[in-house]
Amino acid sequence: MECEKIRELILDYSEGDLNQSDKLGVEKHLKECKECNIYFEQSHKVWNLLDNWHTVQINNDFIPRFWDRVTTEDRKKGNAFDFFRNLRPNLVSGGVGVIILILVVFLVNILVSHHDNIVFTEGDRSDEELLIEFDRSITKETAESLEIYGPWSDEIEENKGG
Amino acid sequence: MQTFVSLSRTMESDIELMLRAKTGDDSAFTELMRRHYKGVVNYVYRFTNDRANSEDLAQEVFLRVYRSVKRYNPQAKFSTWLYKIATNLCITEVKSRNKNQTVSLDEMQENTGDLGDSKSEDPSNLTFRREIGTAIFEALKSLSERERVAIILCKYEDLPYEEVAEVIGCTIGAVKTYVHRGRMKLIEKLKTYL
Repeated sequence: MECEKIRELILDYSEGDLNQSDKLGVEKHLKECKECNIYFEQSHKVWNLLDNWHTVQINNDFIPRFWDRVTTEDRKKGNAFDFFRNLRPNLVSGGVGVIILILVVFLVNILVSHHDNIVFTEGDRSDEELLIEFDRSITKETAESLEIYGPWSDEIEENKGG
Repeated sequence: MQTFVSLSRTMESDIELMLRAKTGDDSAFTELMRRHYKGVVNYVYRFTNDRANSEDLAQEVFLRVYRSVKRYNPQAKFSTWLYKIATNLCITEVKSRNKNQTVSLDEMQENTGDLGDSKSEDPSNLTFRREIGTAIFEALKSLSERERVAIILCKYEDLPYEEVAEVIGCTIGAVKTYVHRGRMKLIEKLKTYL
């Protein structure tokens, strides 16, 4: 086996996780290869050296301090929500006020605005008369022009009789 | 009867405790913390090498777990979830520190862990232990994030490869590769102590 492959297997070998054939292969290689043997030893040594970095001593009040922190944060959050809670009634009353105001303006507008109050200028009056005259003439022309097709009802009666 | 109840309570698994905590039972969460806080504080400490702040950071980890307890879904082991949160927090912390790095070497050695009873210990021994602690931290710092997480969790937290793989989000084979590569780099970095 190649050295690189052996070095990858050394971790499993030292933990006893290799199958029999790989285990024998590693052991054979370690006997023959000085460099891999050095790596194997150093790998062990460095792993054991890490034990020299000791754990920290932890204060006994870790858990009570945690709950104090939770309470403090909850209180802060509660205060923030109080602000919104105080804000909410004001917003509701403000909104209702605005709606009432709009309704009042709308109703006043309806009651006050009347047809009589519409002021026509002389120009408007003559324009309106012109439009009425035009409308009458069109109606008349249309009725007369349709006479060439009639009277439909009499023809139908005659056809039925014939 | 009371003894039986308290005994069965102590036998409860982390998941059972978490499910109780989910219903608003803070005593269950206290029990979970009691089981895991030392591991988390030490994990944070190994990652940041900052004794002074490791407890605060560990509390932040538990606070995040506590705040998200309602969303807890027992699919993975509780410790996996816990160390995943701790890892993310530590990585963020280390990155933000690297951006505003103003800590002197003296300060760093001052913060390098509580090395037992410093009053009764031989000063030369204490100095050596501080020195080796800093050297190990610096060597671990030089590894890639994944190699560092894999080595700290395997070596110091004694987590099985399966759990480490879940924390990192990779396969077991990949964890073994990270540990192998990490070891090779550590041999280079710490050869003066070997």
